[in-house]
Amino acid sequence: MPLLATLLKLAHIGAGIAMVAGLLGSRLLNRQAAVAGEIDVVLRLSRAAAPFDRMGEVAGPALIVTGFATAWADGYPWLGLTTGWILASVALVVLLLVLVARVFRPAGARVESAILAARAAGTVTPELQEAYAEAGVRRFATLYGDLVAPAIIALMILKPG
Amino acid sequence: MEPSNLVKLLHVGIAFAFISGLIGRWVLLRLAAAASDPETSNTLAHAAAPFERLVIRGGPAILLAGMATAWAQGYPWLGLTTGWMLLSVILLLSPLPLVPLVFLPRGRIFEAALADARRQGVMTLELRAAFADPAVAFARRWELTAVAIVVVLMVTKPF
Repeated sequence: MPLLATLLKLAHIGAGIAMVAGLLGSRLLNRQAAVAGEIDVVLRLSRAAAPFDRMGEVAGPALIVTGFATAWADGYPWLGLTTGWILASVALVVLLLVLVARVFRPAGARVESAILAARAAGTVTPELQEAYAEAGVRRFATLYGDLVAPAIIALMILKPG
Repeated sequence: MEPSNLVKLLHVGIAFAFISGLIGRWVLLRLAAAASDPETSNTLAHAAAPFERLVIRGGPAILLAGMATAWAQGYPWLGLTTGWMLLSVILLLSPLPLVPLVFLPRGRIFEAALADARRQGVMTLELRAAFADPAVAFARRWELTAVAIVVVLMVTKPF
């Protein structure tokens, strides 16, 4: 395997690992925060989720860029976009980035403001619990966030068409 | 779809979970070490538990799935006669002695220091020292380094 293609593939896998770790870390910590009974614990766990959120946000675009570069180095035409499984993988990551911008960030801002209000009140408020509750589009987005990484990994390994 | 690819998918999926566990634990313990009060340290250290479980369960699972993948792909002796696979297995097993030699004894010292710091309500010197323990830091760095080398071996299959 030529050196450049190997290095690009390793960078792509590294970005993939960072994205999975970011998604998983954020999910696990926010889930713990949502069920915590003390506002101080909620605050600590939500702050601890921030590095994982940043990891996921940086890794997403890096995953796409290194993916295109890897496809180019491996000789796929049109950066791989004429290959079904690569196109599907790109679409899945792009939709995730859209959901981050349109659903997760606004929801995070609502949770943040509810945390600050609850901290001032000194207790976990119903508003905070409501802000953490997942319904409608957010429930879909969360489910999508849980399933997208396994789906992309499956496409990368199985290369179905 | 080849059955061997399904086993490989399982192997890769476990690997992602395992490495995510290592990264998640590392991030949370660093945040816990940098905390300014013992309650925050305690919350973050305990929040690392799900990541720890991923590491503990993922380690053996990754080896079993890797050998199953080697068998499904037709490598003789579960891949153990192939240089890069043998080296990967050795590297993945290499942190095992660190559990009784470093993680368990130092973990007990850490738990005692954390409990004492919580009683006193301040980050004690003992707790700071437990977080900065060079043996634990070396062990954690080695775990991450070994896994990083294994990922490179899996991609490059050099020998």
